[in-house]
Amino acid sequence: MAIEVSDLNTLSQTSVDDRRELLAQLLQEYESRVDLKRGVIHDLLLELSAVISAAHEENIERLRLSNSLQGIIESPELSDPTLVDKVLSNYRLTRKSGSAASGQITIVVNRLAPVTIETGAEFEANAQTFSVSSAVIARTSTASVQSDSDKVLTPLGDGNYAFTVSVVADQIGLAGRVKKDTLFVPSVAITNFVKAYASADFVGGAEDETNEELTSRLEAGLACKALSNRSSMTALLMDRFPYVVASSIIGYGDGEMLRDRHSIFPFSFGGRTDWYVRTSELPINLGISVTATLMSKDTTDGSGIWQFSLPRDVAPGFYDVKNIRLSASAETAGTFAITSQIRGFDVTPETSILRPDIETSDEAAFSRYQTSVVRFRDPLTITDALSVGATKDYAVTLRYMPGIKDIQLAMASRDTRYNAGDVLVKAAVPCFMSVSFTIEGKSGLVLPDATTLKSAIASLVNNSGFCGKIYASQILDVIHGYLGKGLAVANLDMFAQILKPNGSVTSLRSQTAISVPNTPADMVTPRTVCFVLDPEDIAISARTINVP
Amino acid sequence: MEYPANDFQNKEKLLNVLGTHWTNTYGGKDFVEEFVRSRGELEDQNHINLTEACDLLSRLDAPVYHKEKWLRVVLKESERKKRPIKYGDGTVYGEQPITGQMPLYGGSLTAVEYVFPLTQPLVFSQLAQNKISEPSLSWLHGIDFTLNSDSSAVIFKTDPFADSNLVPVEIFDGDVVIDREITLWFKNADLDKNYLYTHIGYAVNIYGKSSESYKNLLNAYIDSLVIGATKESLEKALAAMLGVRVVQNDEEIVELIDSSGDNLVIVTDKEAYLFNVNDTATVSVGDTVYKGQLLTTAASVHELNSGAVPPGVVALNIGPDMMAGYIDGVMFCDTTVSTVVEENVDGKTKVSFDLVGHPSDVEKFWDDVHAEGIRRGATLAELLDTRGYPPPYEPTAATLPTTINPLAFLIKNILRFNAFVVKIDLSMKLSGAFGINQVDLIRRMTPPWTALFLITTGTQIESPVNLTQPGDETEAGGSESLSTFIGAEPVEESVTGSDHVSERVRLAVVEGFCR
Repeated sequence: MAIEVSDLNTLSQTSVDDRRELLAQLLQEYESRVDLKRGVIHDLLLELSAVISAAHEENIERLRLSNSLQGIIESPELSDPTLVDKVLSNYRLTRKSGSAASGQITIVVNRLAPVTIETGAEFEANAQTFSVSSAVIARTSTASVQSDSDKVLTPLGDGNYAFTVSVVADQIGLAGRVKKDTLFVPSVAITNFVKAYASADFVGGAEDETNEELTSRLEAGLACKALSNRSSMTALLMDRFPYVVASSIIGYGDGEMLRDRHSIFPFSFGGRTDWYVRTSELPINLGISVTATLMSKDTTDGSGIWQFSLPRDVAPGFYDVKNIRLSASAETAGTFAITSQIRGFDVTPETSILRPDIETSDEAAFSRYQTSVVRFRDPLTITDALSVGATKDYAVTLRYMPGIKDIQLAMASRDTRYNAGDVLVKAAVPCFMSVSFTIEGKSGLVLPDATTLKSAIASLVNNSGFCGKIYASQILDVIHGYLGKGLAVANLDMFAQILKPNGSVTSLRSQTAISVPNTPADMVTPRTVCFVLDPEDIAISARTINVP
Repeated sequence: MEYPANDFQNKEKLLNVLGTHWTNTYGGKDFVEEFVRSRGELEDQNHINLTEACDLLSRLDAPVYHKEKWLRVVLKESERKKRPIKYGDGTVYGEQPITGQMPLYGGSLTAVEYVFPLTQPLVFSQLAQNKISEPSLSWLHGIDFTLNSDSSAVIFKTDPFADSNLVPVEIFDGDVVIDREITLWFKNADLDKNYLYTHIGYAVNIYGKSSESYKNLLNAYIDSLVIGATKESLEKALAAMLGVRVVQNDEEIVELIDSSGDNLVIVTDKEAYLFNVNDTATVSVGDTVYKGQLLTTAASVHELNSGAVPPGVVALNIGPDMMAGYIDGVMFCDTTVSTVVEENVDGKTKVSFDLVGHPSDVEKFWDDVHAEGIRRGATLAELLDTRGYPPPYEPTAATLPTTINPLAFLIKNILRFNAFVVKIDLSMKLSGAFGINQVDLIRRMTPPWTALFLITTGTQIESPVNLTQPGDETEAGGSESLSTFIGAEPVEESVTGSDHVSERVRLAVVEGFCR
């Protein structure tokens, strides 16, 4: 409990003086014969009464401030998480506890032989320890499977076999969010082990919510959770999907709203809502296996153009295809070149779900109704002996915001929406950023830890919401918090690419600020675009300066 | 409020608490009585503070200001500033009504007001006295002094240091008098401790200067959060922006409407409502009014679902935010215009009518309407055909309306479904109104699938120009005579290009990221 009766020795002298002067003035006026300047009345009555009264005033003031969140957070005497949590209960808010990241590891072995992985077996990656959450026995065939936890070894086509296990980070926090293809090292020997890597980006992993993060949710705590106005809609979203990082609601009268112009008149009729949602600080890299069809052959080099489709439920609302490789490829970098990507949409009706009014693929972009047909050139598969129409499996990595389908279905379901409530949920239009800068200083000075610094910069950018602008000064401010005396920053450069809903890319570059252009006809404005900065896209260099 | 309002104000009761020795036996009973009375004053102030702390738990009961029963203000002579007369100060020709001063021709007009800085956020006090119980000097707010909370200053009409009722205390530095100060007691002083923002506004991220209007706006906004979007909360917010109140009780009956004083006053059987004296009541004596209702034309909300043009709305502009690819959009006016019929435009009859806007916008608008009509299989001409849709053959001028009201057409066919109009007359704002600086709040309060057309009006300042007669040196007119004057000779400076121009090329390595 942070409210304590104040120490009489630490009372404000002004407060005591004001009380004493008021008391003296009143007594002097009521009883003018008494000497109030010195002596027993002054010392025992006036001074003591003033001190006690000032103490009461101070305690009441603390009580008052303890009911003001701004007062609690800004007052050193009251800045106590317990007290903040108590006041926040009035807003129906509970502090989010930190959580550990989790994901799946693909384990590759070089023999078709059973492998057992015990519960609690540890793997290490990125200086973090991860434990297997439930035991797995990898079997050689489906026929030998004995329980639900058994897995079947899958041939990779190169003489190796793979199976997956689920792991959880031992520590809570963001550090456990390892990327797809990150290599893991087991702490115990695994039979026939070749390698282990992250099957997809790990998810979850959060620090304990700070007072600042909590206060940013105050309004959502107060608001009713319903599709009513922007505030209550946001509250509904945060209540049902607490992992959502930011959202922006576009409606009637907003230039970015194109779906309410489906008539012979070129202007809006209203009645539609586009909801841009950022569900994760970073898009998730999802690995999938696809079967591609040979569309044409290049007789000059034997390569072929292959095509595969991505239906609406595969990585719903995905941003882009990050890489395409042969299924059996052991490579963790590089991709076949994409020759074309045609986005479409699929609004096949679902029971109890209102089908949104979508007329073009641009309107459907980044929503769960988006589909895509991708063509790419595979120079490694010689097509001389193949016919057009032949098929082949490929490993594809997609970049997407998780949960878009879940949110769409929740908002369009009959227990949430109002009649004719046409709400289309879309992943925020991404503005992928990269940042580079140089830390300069005299020889011998200690440089900050690059991983920590990159994480802090990325966190700033990825939590900036739909801000429309990222300033170099904001990033410099973060950097300076990690620099010791004598170190300085030079050559900060920011580069950004906005992936528009129509599939085209706009590049931006600045040393001062990256601003989202205001092009509502493309659905690209500060209200639809979020900045995305992967720590891996931050380049830090160091330079020694020689100053006499 | 009754006096004594509580036991702290009741000296007999306080004395009784001490027991019979002090009330009956002790010889200095009078002093003890006055001491407990004075001590009670201190605790009464704490009682007020505690009540405020409790009231601040409720957004509805939250006090706007902190109240001090007696606020001690010390004025230092060294901080006194004299302010000269300004236009608008209320100075009149001849003898001044309050001070009795008679400004003389050629005399100095400086030092009519004496300004002292305040160390406390004092906003209002009706009375300033030299003593608390039996003052020999009482100054009234607005007459003898004013308070400027923006600059944290108290402004006196006369110099307090020249008043014999106030005895300055000399401040010494060693043996030297370095300053003098006097003490004034401000009764029932309102101090702005930002209660509303720190306790309520902070939670919803709405900042405003402490005022009843700010409180009303916060409550309207939070109502819209807790309950969801309602007409009542929107109208309360609009009223707060103008500094007026909506009807407070479930039902009230209007008993009096009077604008003979400084304000328009609407009195009901339960409340009295103040408005700008130039405002116009939308209710009459005897009317029953309902909770949340706006009572004057200063702010009004018009729903368009009936398809009718609201009274007083003469035009609406459909801007680029509602029509992608346009420069300024097009304006639909409440007037009757002729329809223009063109046959066989891309194989179909094209109809259009006069709209206001950039010519390229208007032309594009009608081209878009016609092209989209063809693409969607129903042109505007076909939809307007007096024979009904679908018409038996391509419309002609004879089968189409000859005139149309553009605004009525817009509202009847498009805006009636999801739009509404809000009119605010900013010239009707009352003192202390929150204003429309944060009008985007309304965006947060209304459902996103609806649109609000905000029409603001204000006082028109007229500056007529008579174009039928020539202008002169002071008045503009239909024709003006021009005169010229000779400017200074420009300074010439010749620069030879080859002496001062050079070319430099710099190569740099630029790194980028390929995705």
